[in-house]
Amino acid sequence: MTFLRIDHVTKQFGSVQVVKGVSIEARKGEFVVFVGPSGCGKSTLLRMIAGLEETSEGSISIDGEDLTHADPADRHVAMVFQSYALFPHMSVFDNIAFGMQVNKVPKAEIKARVAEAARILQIEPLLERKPKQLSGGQRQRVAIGRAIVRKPKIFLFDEPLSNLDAELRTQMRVEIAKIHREIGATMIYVTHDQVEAMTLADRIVVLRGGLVEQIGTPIDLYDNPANLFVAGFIGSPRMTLLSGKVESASAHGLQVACPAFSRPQSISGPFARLPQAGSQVTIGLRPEAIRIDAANPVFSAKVEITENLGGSTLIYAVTQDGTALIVPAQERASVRSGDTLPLSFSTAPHVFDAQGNNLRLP
Amino acid sequence: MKKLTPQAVLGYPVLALFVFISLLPLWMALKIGLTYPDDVYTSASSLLPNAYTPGNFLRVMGLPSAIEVSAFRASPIDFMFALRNSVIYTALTVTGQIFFSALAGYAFARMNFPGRNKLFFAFLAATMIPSVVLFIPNFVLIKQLGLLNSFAGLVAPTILMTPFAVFFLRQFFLSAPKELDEAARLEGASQFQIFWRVALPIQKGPIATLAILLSINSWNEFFWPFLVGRDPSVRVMAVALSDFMSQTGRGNPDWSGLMAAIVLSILPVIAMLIVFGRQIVESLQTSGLK
Repeated sequence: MTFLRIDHVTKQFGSVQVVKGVSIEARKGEFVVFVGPSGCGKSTLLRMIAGLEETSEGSISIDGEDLTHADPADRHVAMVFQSYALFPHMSVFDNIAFGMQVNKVPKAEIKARVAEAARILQIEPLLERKPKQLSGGQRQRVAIGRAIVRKPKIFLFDEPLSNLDAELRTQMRVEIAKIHREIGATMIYVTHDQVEAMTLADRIVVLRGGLVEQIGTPIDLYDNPANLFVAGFIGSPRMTLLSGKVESASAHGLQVACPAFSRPQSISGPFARLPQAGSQVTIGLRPEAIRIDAANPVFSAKVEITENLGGSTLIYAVTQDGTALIVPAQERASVRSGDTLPLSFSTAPHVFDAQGNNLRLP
Repeated sequence: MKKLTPQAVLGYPVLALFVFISLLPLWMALKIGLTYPDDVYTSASSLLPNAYTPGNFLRVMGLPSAIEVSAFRASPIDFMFALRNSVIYTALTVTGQIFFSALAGYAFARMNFPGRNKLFFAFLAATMIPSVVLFIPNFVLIKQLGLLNSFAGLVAPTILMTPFAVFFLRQFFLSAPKELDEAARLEGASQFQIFWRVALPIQKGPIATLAILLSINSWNEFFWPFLVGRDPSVRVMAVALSDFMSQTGRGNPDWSGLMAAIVLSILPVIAMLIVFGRQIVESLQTSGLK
């Protein structure tokens, strides 16, 4: 059942429209991640759910109740800000208890609920400290604690990990996933980091320029990107995109010539739509689809640099037509800068038409 | 140890001279305050009195003293009472002005209402009106309200706000992270709760700075209290000093009593300087005024 319904909402700042008619639904207990580049409207959309930004058009309802123009306090949502927004003059306890204190919750209950949140977040020894005496990760936990104690209908996270260093970010990402599992609340999470989106989300909403590009599970988005933007944005290392021209198209597949390929390649179907012969297409290859293949090479690339990650190696190379690509090698590859790699692709690659839409999807 | 550079060799004597020049009037006031009235002229050229006496301080505080001065005896001024009045006047002005100016400054910084910027511009323009221009209309108003010779009349023009205080606090509210307000709003805090429990406490530093500036100003304020608060029941220290000077003979003022009273009147300010010295210097720098 739909718990959060965002229906054709727009947001206008003066003459600039930053959210251009977005519709999203989330089920109860679902973890939905809004992802997109800076300025795509994802934070604005989150703030509209919170009630911190007025919705220009459209409606937002939570648990069946239309809250489009409701006061933030009446929406029963809690938000974790990018800057944590902890009250600097209050102790950790008072920060977490603030909402209950202003709502005149009995003291004993406040104490019990703060203690419970502190236990979940493992911040019990920090309750008497001030925010400035905490590390970034601890502040993050306090901010989450402040959200948890209110037992909100929806948790909103606005890029909560972007101020943390890489190691702590990974650790907190796991923590947030654990908290979601433990309390089972509906969570909406905004990030520009597609790794966070892939690892945390039940469903990802990819936004660009105030519009939804695609909504789906992480695997769905990875395997079936609707367009070039989603294909390039989701997945790390990025998908390699090679431009080419259709020589012939039939129900069985396409024959595509790429400047990078030594000879035209047939790409097997199924395709939802067939391009016309002679039209421009883009071939999309996930890193794991590219393999080093000396026996039957399809194209070659010149090694620029290798990154040895211990267990595996990332080979950064450039094709004949100048397209940069990354080839992951599972073993410690014995290639050096300047070597020419014979390559082929292992699975049927994605094909995007001239407008950037995936030809395999309807 | 620091190296003795030519700049230091030249600089320190100059600095010492400035310190001497600045402290000399204060020292002379203290010295004359500690001098027997009859000795004031005989020891005038000396930096130290011929003989010390606490008598002048005792008598201006209304305490029994060995020194009797005819003019003083004729109409004694209770400086301790004036000191109390000054404390009340300053405390009322400072707390009232900070509270109400903070409300206005917060509203200008954070709340959206029609005409906000125009209204704020009016506040800014008001900082350019010399206070002297306001004395007559204010006096007429206070008189018609029947508030002459009352604390209400004394504090009326400044207790609600001054444009400077509003402007000063607005700048700090503007620079505070907006997310704190938003976080409090999401938690269900009312607009006033956000102001009182979040926005105001985090401006402790600027508020302390403003309090110090306003305290010094209010304590030294003379003209307005002189206009509306001449009655001994509300007479503040600065007015009491003026009255004291005017009631002693022109040809033979009670210098030692006057100086003792002056030293007494500046003691609270000196105490503040000692306690909050660093903050006062910082406040003068940040406010960019005075």
